[in-house]
Amino acid sequence: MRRLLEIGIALLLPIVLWAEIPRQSSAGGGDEILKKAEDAMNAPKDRTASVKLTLIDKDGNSKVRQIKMWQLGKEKRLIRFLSPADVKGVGFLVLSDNEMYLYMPAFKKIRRIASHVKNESFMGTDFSYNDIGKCQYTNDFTAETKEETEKEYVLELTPTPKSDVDYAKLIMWVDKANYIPSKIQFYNKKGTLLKVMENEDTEKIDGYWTPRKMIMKNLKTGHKTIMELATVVHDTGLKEDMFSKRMLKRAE
Amino acid sequence: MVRILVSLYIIPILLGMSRSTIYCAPTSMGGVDISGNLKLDKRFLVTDSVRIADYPYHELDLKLKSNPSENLSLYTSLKLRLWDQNLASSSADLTEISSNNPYELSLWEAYAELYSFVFDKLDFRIGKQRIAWGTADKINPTDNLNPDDFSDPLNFGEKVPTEAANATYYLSDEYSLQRLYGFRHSSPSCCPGANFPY
Repeated sequence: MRRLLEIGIALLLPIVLWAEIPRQSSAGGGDEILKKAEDAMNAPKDRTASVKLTLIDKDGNSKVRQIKMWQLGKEKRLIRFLSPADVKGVGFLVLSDNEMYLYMPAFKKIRRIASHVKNESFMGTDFSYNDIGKCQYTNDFTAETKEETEKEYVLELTPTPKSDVDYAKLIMWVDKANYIPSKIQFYNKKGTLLKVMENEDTEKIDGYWTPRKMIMKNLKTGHKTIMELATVVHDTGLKEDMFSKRMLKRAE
Repeated sequence: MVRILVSLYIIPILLGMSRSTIYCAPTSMGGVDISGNLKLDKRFLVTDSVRIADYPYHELDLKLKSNPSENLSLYTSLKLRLWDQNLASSSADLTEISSNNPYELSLWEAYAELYSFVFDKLDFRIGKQRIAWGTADKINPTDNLNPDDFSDPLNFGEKVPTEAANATYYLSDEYSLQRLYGFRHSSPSCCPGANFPY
């Protein structure tokens, strides 16, 4: 009887293991792929970029904004608006996923971004404060591999219970070659596709894969924002002190 | 009383204002960054007796900024305010240029800021400056270091920069000690001009 049980288990075991295989891609589970994508996006020790933001409405009217962006590690980010005049001097500081500050030169004041505001539009763009500020998806989402093609992994990201993001679901296409997400779909709580972000012109700069162009489309309003990196340099030795409220005020 | 307030303030604020703001593209000249904006307001007053008073108000704000070195920043803001309204009530007033061209040019802010001055954690700013305390807008009891500017009541909450020396020592990113010295014996608030129609 015991012998029969052992034979039965031996026969069933490969079937059980085989059933598990489709859930695990060759690169591991969804969370593992997401972690690799996050590591690929935040690979440099620091990054300094001059960025052109083009805001285009549904009628094709466009506005251009120039910003400068510094990033240290995975969490810290400082953004300064250089033009046009109505936003010149505005600064945005991210110290962690939960700690973001905005400096408005007209008021000479630094304001902490409240959690309910983080999902609103960042300075008229189609990116929210969370989209711009959050550098680590694994803090807010768990991922499951939905599909695997020859070139890409397709992940479904679900917010963790503690997450403050307003999205109910994200679908992320991750390039197998470099683990840079090529496309992300953002769904709201009703399950409606709200926004689509596409990363284009990904190239190796200073040894790090960097998308040169990010396009965020708001499908509800027809508005879109194109973020183009004009110049990018990595690992220049940015100091921790630079990412402080003291420095944020100097944005003016 | 409520009705009077509504007539005098709410209606003009809600209905009697049309604004255009033109921003000039930031440019750099000889190491000086220049930016600014031109605000054109068409204001009018509608009272209970359906009297309409035109009150155009224009403002040109010009900002100049220079960073001669990494630790020194110079900043100047000039403001030209123009009340596009003829104040002459008799032929005698026509001899006064200011009656026909009521404008005001002011050096709104002008200061030098030294970063890491003497000590690494000390920033020092001297000159005519806006010193903002607290985070609330408009009604903010802690923001009381600069006097109120009521010269344009429709821009409620505006403060007049004052001449001061301002030293801030950063203990950490959360805590800092600030020492201020005002050069003027008194800095009164500004009130609306006699020609203000509201």
